[in-house]
Amino acid sequence: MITKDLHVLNKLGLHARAAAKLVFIANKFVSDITLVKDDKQADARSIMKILMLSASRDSIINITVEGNDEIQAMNSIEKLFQNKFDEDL
Amino acid sequence: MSIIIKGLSVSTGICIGKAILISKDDINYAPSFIKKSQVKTETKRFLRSLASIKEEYKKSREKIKDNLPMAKLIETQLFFIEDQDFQMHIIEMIENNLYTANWAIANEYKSIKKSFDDIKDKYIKERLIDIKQMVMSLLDLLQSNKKENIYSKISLESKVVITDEITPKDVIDIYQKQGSGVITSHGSKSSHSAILSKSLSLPMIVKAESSKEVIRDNDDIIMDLDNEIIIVNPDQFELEYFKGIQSHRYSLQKSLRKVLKKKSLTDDGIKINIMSNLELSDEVKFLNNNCDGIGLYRTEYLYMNRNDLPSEKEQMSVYAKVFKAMKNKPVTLRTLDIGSDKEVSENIKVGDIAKNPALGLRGIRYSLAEKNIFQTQIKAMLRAGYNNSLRILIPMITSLNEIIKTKELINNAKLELKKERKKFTNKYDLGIMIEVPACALQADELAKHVDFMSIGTNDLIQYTLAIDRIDDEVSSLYDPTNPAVLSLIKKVIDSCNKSSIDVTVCGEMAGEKSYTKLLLGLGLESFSMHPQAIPEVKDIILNSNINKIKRKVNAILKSNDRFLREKLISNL
Repeated sequence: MITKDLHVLNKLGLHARAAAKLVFIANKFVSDITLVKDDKQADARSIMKILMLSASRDSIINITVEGNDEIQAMNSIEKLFQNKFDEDL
Repeated sequence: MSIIIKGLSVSTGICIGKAILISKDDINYAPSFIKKSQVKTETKRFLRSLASIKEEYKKSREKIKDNLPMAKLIETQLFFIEDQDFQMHIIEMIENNLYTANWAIANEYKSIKKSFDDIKDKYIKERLIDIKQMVMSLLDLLQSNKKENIYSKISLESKVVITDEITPKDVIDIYQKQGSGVITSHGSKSSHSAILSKSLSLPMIVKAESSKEVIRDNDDIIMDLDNEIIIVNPDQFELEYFKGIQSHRYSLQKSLRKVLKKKSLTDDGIKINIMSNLELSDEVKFLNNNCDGIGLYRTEYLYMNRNDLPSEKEQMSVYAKVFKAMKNKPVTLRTLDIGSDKEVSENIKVGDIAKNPALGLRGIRYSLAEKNIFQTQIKAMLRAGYNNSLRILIPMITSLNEIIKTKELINNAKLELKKERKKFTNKYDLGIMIEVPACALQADELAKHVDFMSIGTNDLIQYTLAIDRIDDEVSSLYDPTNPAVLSLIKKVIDSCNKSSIDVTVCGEMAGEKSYTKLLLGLGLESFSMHPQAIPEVKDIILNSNINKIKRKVNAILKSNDRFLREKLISNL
């Protein structure tokens, strides 16, 4: 199990399209991926649950990955966060 | 007894019709159950409907794959449809609680909606719409009433549509089904739908907040757009009165329609260019062929109501659409003019809210600061302009230096296009907007560096007189005929004539019929205006004798008395 706190850096926060990208990446792996913000928790494979985290810019999300490919999964997710979900100019 | 509702008018005139209430917002929360033996079939029914909307979305994604923002939107929608959490909850409710699929979905939506109510981030909160749309499609399918376009299955003739909100597509549907008018409880005057309905002459009143509560199906409705009121169930006297006004307007419009077919020559045989202003590319379909081109296409709307920037490809296809519709006539594309009064997407930041936005980073100033955005737009214009009559118009120029810098950026764009081996035009006209007095005063010199000028009277008046006409305290001082304003306009026209380059007025003055003769008298031979203004202005142009008018114009330029000036103008 790996767990990490990741920073939401893109301007619009974890909105629909960014969440969709996260789901897309999560679906490539077999590990369980869970996002926690404040008192809310979301499965990284549910776009609705991710939106409900209401993670606007600068919020911090605790991510837990558990499974056979957890290292690769965490790396990909971390990269996505660092690249601001490929959307800022 | 009649009831009066207030709203905001999008255009002018009178509209009389019968109300038809359209609600796009009906999720049925009524409980309904299945028998235990039906669990399997009900689950299948749910999964099948889910699969079929997925198919539907994929198909529409295929269809619009060239429209990138739309395609991305649908892409995201697909993630909602595939949401495992959502599916699981509904199947659980069917299996454990014996809910019908419909009720399970409605229930799940209710709880999602509740969670979304707590979300503070406005942008994320709005995405509930996506989920709602999916839920509505699912419910539609499950109720087996085919999901059709809401306006396509009902008769709208002489009906006034009452609804919450309306999309540009709806506006076109209502127009084509000969609906009389539209009243919305929400919306704004600057929305795409509002602009479209204005250019289609479809009467529309927005923000009539109580309309949905007060108005019932088949109520008699009078929309008095001039006074921004709606009269519900008028009495006989009111009805007669408004019918009188309406028929008077009809006969006037009918006689003006003939004018459109005539050549735009003045009484003394001088050809006057009458062009159209354009805000949305969709409008171009409805422009009649009786104008001499597009004198001003405001590209800002391409950038509005979205969270990303329009790509080169997307812009190119939009511009190409306009060129195609206008056949070989000139099309003037104005580069992005943001800042000041125009709100654009969140991705375009004009700094923090400027203390004095009219004097801030707007028009070309913004473009020179954000070179990438500008260059993308120029590339799209040059590509769309291939084999077409392209005119590029630069807003808010104040100095020669800005023109030189702009040309450099255009050259860079061309170099990039060459490198990318893309087809583009090298034959285009480059023009500048005259909005700032500094620019008007240097018109002689600037005329040597550009191919045409276009006078934006609204801003020119605002900057010359230092009047914000939206400010009620000073709006009465806003005077288009102020001698300083008129002499600046005259100076620009004279400078352009001297250098033999085109000059157009594209501000509101061009479409205001009381100023048509005055502008002709100042030597103007090219007008660009809102398409709806063309018939009346053209009618005046056909009946004008320029030589006669010119002789009288000097007295107006010299008069310092506003009242006298207006009298002289009306006597031209």
